[in-house]
Amino acid sequence: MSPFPPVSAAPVLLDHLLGLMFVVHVVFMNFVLAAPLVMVWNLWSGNDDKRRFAQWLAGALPVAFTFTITLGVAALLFVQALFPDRFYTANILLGKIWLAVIPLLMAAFYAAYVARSLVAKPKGSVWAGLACLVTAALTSCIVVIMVSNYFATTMAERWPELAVKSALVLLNQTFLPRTLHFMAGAFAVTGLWMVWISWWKRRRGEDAAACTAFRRQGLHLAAGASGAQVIAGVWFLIWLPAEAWDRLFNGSVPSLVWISGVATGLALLGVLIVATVYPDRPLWSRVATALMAWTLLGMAAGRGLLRLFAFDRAFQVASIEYRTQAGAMLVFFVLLLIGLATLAALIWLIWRLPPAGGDSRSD
Amino acid sequence: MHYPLWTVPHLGGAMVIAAISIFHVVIAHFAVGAGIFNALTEIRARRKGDATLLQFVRDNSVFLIYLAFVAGAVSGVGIWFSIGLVAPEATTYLIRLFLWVWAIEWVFFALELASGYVYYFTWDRLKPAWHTAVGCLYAVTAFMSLVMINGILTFMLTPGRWLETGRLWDAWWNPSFLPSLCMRTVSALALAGIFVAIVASMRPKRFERSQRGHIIAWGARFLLPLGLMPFLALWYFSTLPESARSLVSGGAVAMTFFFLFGVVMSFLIAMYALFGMLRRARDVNIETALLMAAIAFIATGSMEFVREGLRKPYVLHDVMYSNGIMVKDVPMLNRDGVLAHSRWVQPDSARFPGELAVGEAVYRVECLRCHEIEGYNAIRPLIRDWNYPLIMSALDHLDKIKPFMPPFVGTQAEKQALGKYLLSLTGGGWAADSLADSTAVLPAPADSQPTAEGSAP
Ligand code: HEC
Repeated sequence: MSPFPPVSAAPVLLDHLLGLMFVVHVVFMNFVLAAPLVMVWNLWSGNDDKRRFAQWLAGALPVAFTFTITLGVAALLFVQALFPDRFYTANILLGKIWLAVIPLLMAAFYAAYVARSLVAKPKGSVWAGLACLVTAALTSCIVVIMVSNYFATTMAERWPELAVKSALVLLNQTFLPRTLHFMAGAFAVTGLWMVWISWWKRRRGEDAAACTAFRRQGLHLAAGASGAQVIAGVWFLIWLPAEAWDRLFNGSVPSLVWISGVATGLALLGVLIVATVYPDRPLWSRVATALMAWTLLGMAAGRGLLRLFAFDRAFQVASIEYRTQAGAMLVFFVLLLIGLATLAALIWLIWRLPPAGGDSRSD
Repeated sequence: MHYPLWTVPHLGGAMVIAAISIFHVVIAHFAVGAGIFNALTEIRARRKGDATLLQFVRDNSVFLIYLAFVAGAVSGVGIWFSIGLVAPEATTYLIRLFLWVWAIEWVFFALELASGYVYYFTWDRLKPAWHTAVGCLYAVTAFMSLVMINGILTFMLTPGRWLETGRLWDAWWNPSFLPSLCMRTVSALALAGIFVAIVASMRPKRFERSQRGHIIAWGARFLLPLGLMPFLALWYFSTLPESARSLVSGGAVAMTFFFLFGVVMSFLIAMYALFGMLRRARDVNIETALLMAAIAFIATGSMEFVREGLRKPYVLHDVMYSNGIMVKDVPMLNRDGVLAHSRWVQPDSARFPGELAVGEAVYRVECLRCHEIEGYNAIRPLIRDWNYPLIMSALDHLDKIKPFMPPFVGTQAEKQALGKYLLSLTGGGWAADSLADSTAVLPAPADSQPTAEGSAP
């Protein structure tokens, strides 16, 4: 019996919305995590062409930050509506550490702006690289806190222990394979971002050779990271308890999505390797992107299954009491569609901009 | 009652929320006002061929990105995080009730961000008509996100007909919705106007004197609606519940002061804008502009402070008290005791002997969110030299002696225990010092293991 009002829509629907928002959040968040490191690598390579790559990445960084945050908020909105007990209790048990996300995030975001303004300076490489490292360090702290919070939400049986110790104790052996798996994914996604930035730069009239070189770098990164991803994923799977395996392979729709995601992930690795051979053929970029999209969806479905598995000992999502606010929900979905159409129109406007003659302000 | 307590020694959680939200509200209002300013200014500049104004908007749309999209957006998340920590019960209630309203607000917010970036990146690249349209899209979506949130904020104070109907629409479109929206819009426009004065006066090299005067005079028009503030405030007032109105009209001195300060200052700024800036625009220097900004900041902060304060003793009017106790649960809690229904806060008998431990636990459940022992609204100085009968009679009438306090809730035994604990704070109490730094949350006892969904004590 909950003392609070019922959830305002079918919990299963909200759970799917949560998963969807999370996937899109991850697409941007991965870029935010990995791009600063790729920038450092390019900046400190001592090669002028590669410094330009860092500028291109820097141009996209603030936008990626913004959408990481916004989409993360959307995912958290559904988490809070579905599992307030879990979520707020976990927050409170982390306490100040949880609240630290806010200053860390603000500092990371501004550090990214500092990096962006420094990369444009001819002599700014060292400092720009340092600013990138600061950004990366701050965002890594945020990842650690978020993961701890997530663990705390899933482990209600350990709350009494957490009440007297910091929730960071949850970062046990599960943390390493999870983090490796996750970081490899971040580099893979960022590699694909680089591919698309290179196509965009080409459209904007940048030098073809530089664009191809940048694209090749992105493809190599994506291919290498996907390979590492497969290895880390296997390690992660091996670590999981047998009940979790039963979940992942239980034949439900999310489980099928997850399994197909693993398959597309493997296919993606192959496609990326082919693409590095033909970097100038847009077809391979598109195929890789489509496979990546499905893989991410599959991974999110897997994550959802594991979360439910962790929660299940106490309750079932489908059993959360609810009363649909049909009118408001309808307004939301209609507005969401209009919003997506508007977004598409904005992207179309940008895509069709005439070449800007070497101006690197755009991203 | 259903969550652990998160405490900030001395400062109090409420102050953490206040600090983050005032910071956020000023920037968020600026983001709305600046959006409207940019759109209107670009339209006018293009129509009249006013190169100066156009140049000015183009120069400054970047501030929106630096300020509103970073500090504004992140501090908005900060409000979420802090209310979840300090007032998890109320936050749960609101998120459950208003999920779709927030989701709708999110759609507007996401579009606001997307159009803001496009607006900034496409100056001189898009056809003027398209660029202006993107600016309008930003203005509309930013304003709409304010509209959506405004309904939730006003609900907390004036739930209105929702109390009877339970309909979402009645909750959102509540009695103080419109006056509050008008007040917020007026201050959003004003913040944009002040910002114009600051930026224009800060950049003497970019614009000549006469150009600056022209820009400032145009910006001043956005300050004029502030002149309506006294009337809007009266309107707002007329929609408030009687108890809240009496607080501002003398019931709480600080409240009255902050409220009057906010209203009077807004009006004065409007007058200055009319007579000082519109008429003799050239005279506004950077000091004046910054002074206005400081006043606006404090006035906005005051109004937020008043809005938060007015709600006491409730966090959700007539539904939930500031300490997270639901109004409808009071009879049950008086019968069973608050500690029987508290999932996390339990007597700490390792630290306090017998009854004092019970009293201290009751204190944490019911009083700590508004009274630190020392520090924010500290209890110790409030009851210095009180004796036991005086304390007990105060506990009998808490909601009468200070109408912004909830009544004591719980059994007679709990009340007595609380009385003894308070007595120990009055002077010779030995137990008090060890409490002041008790920041740890206590584990739930074995028999009330938290379950995932709600509590089943
Ligand atoms: C909604 C917030 C809130 C809660 C909850 C609250 N108080 Fe207060 N209380 C106040 C405020 C505000 C004052 C006024 C302080 C002042 O006058 O400086 C006050 C004043 C007091 C005073 C002094 C009254 C006087 O006549 O000077 C006492 C005693 C007191 N509170 C006890 C308690 C106790 C005991 C509890 C818990 C059962 C409690 N309060 C809960 C807000 C609260």
